[in-house]
Amino acid sequence: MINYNLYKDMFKNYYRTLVVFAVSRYGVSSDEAEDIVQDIFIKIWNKSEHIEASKVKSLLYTSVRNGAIDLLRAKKRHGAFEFGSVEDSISSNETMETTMIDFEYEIERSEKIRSIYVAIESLPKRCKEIFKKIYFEEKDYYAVALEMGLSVNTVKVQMFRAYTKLRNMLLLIILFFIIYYYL
Amino acid sequence: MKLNKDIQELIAKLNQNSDMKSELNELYKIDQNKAWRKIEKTNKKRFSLGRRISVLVATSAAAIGFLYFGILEKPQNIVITNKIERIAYDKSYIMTSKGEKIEFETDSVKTGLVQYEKGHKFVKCVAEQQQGGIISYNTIVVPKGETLKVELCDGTLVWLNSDSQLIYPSTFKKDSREVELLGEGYFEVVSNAKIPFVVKGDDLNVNVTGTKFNISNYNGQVEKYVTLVEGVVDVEIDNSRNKLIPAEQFRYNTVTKVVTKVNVNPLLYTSWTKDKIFLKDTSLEDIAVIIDRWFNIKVECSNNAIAQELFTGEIYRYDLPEDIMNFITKAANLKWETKGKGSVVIY
Repeated sequence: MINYNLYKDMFKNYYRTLVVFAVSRYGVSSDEAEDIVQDIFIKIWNKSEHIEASKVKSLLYTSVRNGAIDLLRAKKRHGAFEFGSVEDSISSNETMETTMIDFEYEIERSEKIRSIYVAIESLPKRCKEIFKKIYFEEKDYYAVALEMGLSVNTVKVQMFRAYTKLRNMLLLIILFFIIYYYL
Repeated sequence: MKLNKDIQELIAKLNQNSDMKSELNELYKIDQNKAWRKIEKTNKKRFSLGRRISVLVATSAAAIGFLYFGILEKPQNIVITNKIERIAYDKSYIMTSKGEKIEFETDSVKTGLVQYEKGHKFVKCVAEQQQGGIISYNTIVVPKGETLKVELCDGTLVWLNSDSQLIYPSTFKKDSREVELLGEGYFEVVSNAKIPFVVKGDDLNVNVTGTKFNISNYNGQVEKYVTLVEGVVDVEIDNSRNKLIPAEQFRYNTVTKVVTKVNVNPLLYTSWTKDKIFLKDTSLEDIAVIIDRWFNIKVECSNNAIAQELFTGEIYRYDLPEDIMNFITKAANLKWETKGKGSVVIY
């Protein structure tokens, strides 16, 4: 049973991650990926009373996989299939088992990114804004202070708050993530 | 302010890890709000009749492969448990100025006044010879459950929706072509700049020369509206004139007397001439009015919350009313049953 609030949270927490998951793992375009994921959310709402909240995560990822594979197959049928997609490895001589292990691994990886994303999203509004400017746009404190009409010190304090909160939320995850996936 | 060691470490990790950073960056490029609006829009209750539903299910099943999860059900054959007993409705007819009633449909009619081929739902009016300058008026009456297409003697075409009346002179005056409409009509006026065409409603008049437009002027309807498809019209109300351009809709609220102009898709307001009505966030209350007119069936809602439920979809004139009731109630998780002859209740 999924109520409206849960549904909305689900969307906020998963939508972007699932779109990127579909693009990076299955090589669909980002427009196609968005269509796939939107369809999934619409169907989930139509069946909301039959879905257990605890099974949402695997339901979402498996649905994205099915959606992406079906799309790739349909494209292949229409002769518009490009080589180099993950679909090739799934349909080729790899066994179902290795594909499944691979799939689980990809989910785990995607979930790590998602937990960082959710942590950033849960920062207070101004704190988040400053964090995003400094971290993603790689601006320095002074530039951000100027842009937002704040003192450099305020920006520093906000950044410190952001880091502290992020650390509290996901230090373990990040360390684990970095050790296992990028080293 | 002192950064302790693990925070420094975190900063370092976050900054060194460019893959993670670029992946997070990708996430933020996605327009989440736009997607949410789209989803919310679709999630508003939809219903549609069997053939359309099954097409939808078949294509999305192929495209999405969702069947693994039983999230999509197979199209269900709706079993009609309730059969609505219909009240026989009248046929369209013309009431001549002499008080003569000629019913269409029953027979082909070919008098000096009108021509009608049996079964065609198309009436051709013939101009009458004026007798001593006196203009007499004829009334075409289209009851609930019927529609009719009329060709006036100047060649102008008028589609009359159910429960409507068109009063027209046996011959047009030399300086103006005036007709009166109660209910809803879609006009394709033959262009004649010298002799303007005027449609009179009880609250508003529509002045045109040559154009295509729809006017909805039902008795008791709170908001009356004129939708322009092509050309130019001039809506006259309390001596003020309002020009419309194509795809504009003029609305007049008969209670508050407020006048508004909005941009609309004219197709939504003229599709009834092609036996189809599009619903877009239409309340059940308003759908009940449509069903009453088109099928002569009264739909009652057991409470106000139900009456305010919104629906998006389409209704065909040839749909079985039972099907419509089934789809509406299924979409909104409601139930319906017959309540005497020609009447149902939704609860």
